Amino acid sequence: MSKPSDLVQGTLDLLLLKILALEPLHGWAVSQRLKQVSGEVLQVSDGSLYPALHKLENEGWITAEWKTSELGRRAKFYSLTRLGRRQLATESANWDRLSSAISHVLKLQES
Amino acid sequence: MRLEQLLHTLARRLGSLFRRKRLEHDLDDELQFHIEMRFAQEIAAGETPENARYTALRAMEGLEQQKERCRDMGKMFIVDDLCRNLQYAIRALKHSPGFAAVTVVTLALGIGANTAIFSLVDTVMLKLLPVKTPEQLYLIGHNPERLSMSWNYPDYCAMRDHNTVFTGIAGYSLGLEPIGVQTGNATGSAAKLSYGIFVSGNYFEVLGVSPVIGHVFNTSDDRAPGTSPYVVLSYSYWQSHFNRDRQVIGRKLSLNGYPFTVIGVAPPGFTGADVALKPDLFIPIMMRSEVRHESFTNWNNRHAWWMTALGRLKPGAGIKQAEGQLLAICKDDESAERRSLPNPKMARPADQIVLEQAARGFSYLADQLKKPLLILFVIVALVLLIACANVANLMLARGATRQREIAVRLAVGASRSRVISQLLTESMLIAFLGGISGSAVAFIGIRGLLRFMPQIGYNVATINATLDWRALGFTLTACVLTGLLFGIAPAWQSTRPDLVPALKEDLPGSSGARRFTLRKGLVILQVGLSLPLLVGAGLFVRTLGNLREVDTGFAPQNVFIASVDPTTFGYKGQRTLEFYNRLCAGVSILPGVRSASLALITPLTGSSWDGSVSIEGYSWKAGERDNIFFNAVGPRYFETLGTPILLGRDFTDLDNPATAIELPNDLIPGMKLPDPPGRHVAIVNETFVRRFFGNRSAIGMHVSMGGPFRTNNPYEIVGVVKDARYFTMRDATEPMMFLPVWRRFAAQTELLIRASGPAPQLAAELRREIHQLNPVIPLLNMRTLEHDVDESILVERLVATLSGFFGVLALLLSAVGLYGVVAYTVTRRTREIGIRIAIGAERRSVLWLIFKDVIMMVFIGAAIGAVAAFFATRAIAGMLYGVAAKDPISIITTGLCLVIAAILASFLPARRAAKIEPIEALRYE
Repeated sequence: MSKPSDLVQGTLDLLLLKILALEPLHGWAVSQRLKQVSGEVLQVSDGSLYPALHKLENEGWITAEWKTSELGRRAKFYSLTRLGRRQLATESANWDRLSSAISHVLKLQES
Repeated sequence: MRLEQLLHTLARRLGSLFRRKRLEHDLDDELQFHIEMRFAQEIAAGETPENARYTALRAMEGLEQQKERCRDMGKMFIVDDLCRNLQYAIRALKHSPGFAAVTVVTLALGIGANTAIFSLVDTVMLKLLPVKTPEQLYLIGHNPERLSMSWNYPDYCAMRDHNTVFTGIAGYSLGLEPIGVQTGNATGSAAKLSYGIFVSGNYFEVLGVSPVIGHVFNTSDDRAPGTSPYVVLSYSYWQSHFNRDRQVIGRKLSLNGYPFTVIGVAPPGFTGADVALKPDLFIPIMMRSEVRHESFTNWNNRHAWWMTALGRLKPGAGIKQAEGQLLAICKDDESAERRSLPNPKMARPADQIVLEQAARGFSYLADQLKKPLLILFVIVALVLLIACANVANLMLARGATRQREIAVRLAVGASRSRVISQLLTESMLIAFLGGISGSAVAFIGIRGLLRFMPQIGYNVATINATLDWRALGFTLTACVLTGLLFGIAPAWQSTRPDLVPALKEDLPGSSGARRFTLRKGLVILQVGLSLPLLVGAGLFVRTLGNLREVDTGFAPQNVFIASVDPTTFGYKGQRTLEFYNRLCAGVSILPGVRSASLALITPLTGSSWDGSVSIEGYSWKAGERDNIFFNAVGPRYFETLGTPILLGRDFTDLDNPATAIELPNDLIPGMKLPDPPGRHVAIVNETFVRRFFGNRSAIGMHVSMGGPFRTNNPYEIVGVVKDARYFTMRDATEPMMFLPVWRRFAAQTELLIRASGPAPQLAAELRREIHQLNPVIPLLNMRTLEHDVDESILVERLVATLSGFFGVLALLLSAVGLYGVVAYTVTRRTREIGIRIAIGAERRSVLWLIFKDVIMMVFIGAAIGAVAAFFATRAIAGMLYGVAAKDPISIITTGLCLVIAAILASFLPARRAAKIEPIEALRYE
């Protein structure tokens, strides 16, 4: 499974959950939104996006619904479930812990 | 929220079963939408439509691959795939019915044998008692050097009433009490034989068992002797004798002639704490005298050890603490007894206390069966392993023929895991078919195994195992494990990704060099496992043979033993004597009866009677126990058993006292028994003479009871008989002295009958004789002496028969495995052999070519097996008789057997190889 090299292993799930927590979106919109809110820094390849979404759906963290998109075409919209919200809370807490620990290490003064 | 997630997953998996088309369509739509959006974005950025389409598709990294990844990640069709795999597997097996039949039968034998032995192991040592929190239950034992689980009533009561560590201590009689039960109102109606157990009032409460109907005993039933004429029925007795009639509560039953009232029925499956006993009736201990016609003091003293004490330990109470407290209580009881006795030395000293976990119940029979059953379990597990090796070998051979099919599937893009899961589904299907047929094998097997168990008799102790859900659960586990065991290696091998050689049609097996090594390895494993199994089987079979060859000193053919007990119907002293004498005389003149006699103890039943004696002209050496074994027998006892009288004479009626005495009601330990007038004579065995008199004649010498030797009225030796086995077939004969049957007191005795043939009508005739004497007294039990001999070597018979059977099965399976490998080699090398023959190789050298491999495999396997056997037989040394565990001859002869079997197994395919015609071989394929 290829993942964008600029995404730390496992963080894609966290980002997708967070983005879907804001509002239900279809796959294309998810990829655009991620690019936009991260100031073009974070990007998920088309090849990795859908397997990841399907995995989250299988875990029961997101659920999908077919709705008409803004352009009038039917698209599959994903939204967060109750389980997904709980998962997001745990994952982001983990991430906070991890990232603060890493930055703490990196701020050490070299002698 | 694990459950929520679980439900979600389940709904999704099942949903996918019926919506495959729809899900595929959705996936297609979703990805297509994305591609269109990307396309539109590229167009908007000014790309040509052609470039835009190309970029959009490329970003997806292959549409079909993308879909497959989504299916995998979303686990969309996992159930559906399983169903497809299964359909495919069924079709594949239908195509090769021979392969299916051989593998399924092999596994059915292996799994079935394991399930059958498991169900016995489960009954004997795994199952928890069907009572409330069984882990808290402890049996109270004493004397750790020779652990005993029996108790006397006063000590039991003291422990029950004065301890602070148990929530309760229940008591119940050891073994079962045969009881004549009359249900009708007519007093003369024939008594039906049933089995009862005496229990304390708190018995059901301590075990935490509630009745299905009515109520059970309580502590008020322990208050005073004779005041609780109530009985609780076992569920199966209620079912078989009262047709589950709820009106049974309040009904009157007469037990050995005494009226009782039914107050309740125990729950189904509850048979008490001894897993080998199945009582019909639960009776309060306080009614023991009424049922047995035995005085209260006779069983309520510190010298009558007839019951078991089972306690429920309070949560948090320590075992050591409990043992210490119980010992203190018993010591107090000992001092109390000492104060009450005329001779304080006669008080029974208190032993050290040992608590034994009783969550699984306890039974002497079960205890005796533990080790043999574990050994058999190991044996059948090894047989199953051999069976698995066989099936794996067949799967490999099949994998080789399907190599092209698999290679094609891999080449067109099926992932390796997908093909492996397909192949494993096939293995699992075979394993489960094997398991289902194995359950049938187990069902028959259990019935066969139970035939080795003691048959229902006078003191009904037997193991009752059935094919229950626990055994079926075991079968299921065995199926999964075996399926994986024989499935994984072949599946892994056949899907190895070196496709190119396999796709080249004309080189069968050229990529199979390593696979072939695996097949040889499996055969070596089989041979290596079979050898220890066969060696063990050989040792067990020889042990049984040696025991059967033992000169028992009697001729058990056509000897019958009948148990009947008038004393439980109130017969005493002279009346008892007359009952037995009349019965014996009546039976003696029946047609087909050669002789009949009476004996207190019959051989090989495990009962014994010993005591100290002083022998004229013999002084006990230092360290020698002044103890010998006794039996009390009637005239013609030796003739009936077939034991020759070597010197002197047999007992006659005149050797018995004219009137027999009853054991006194208030037996005080150490008191001198009244001695009825009349002469004192005894018969001794050869060992007695050899040990105490050497070469001198024993006839006319004297022996007195206890020590030291008294000239006042001692027993005069009037006869010497040949040595005979008394307790077990294994132990050497001990010095024995026989007394006339009524010399000491009148008690229950066994009736022995020698018939001139099999005498099937004897039981009915005997019942008629008893009926004439007293219609309410039942014939408790009638069996042959051969039956008792057989039962005394029950464990040896069980182990020898089964290990022999499984040893032969292992040998057969290994031979089949070897045959398979050799046949496969010959097929694979047909062309090579053809060429060899064409360029002038002799047939003999072709034969050698094939046998070389066989000999290599068998020798490596046998060498490994011989080492394993050498160490493994140590574990069974204690169970052998007349053979040494490390018996090199056994190992060598078994090894030779294996070599011969191997040569026979490979003979057919090897001969085929030698007969290959070069022309045909070159045309081959």
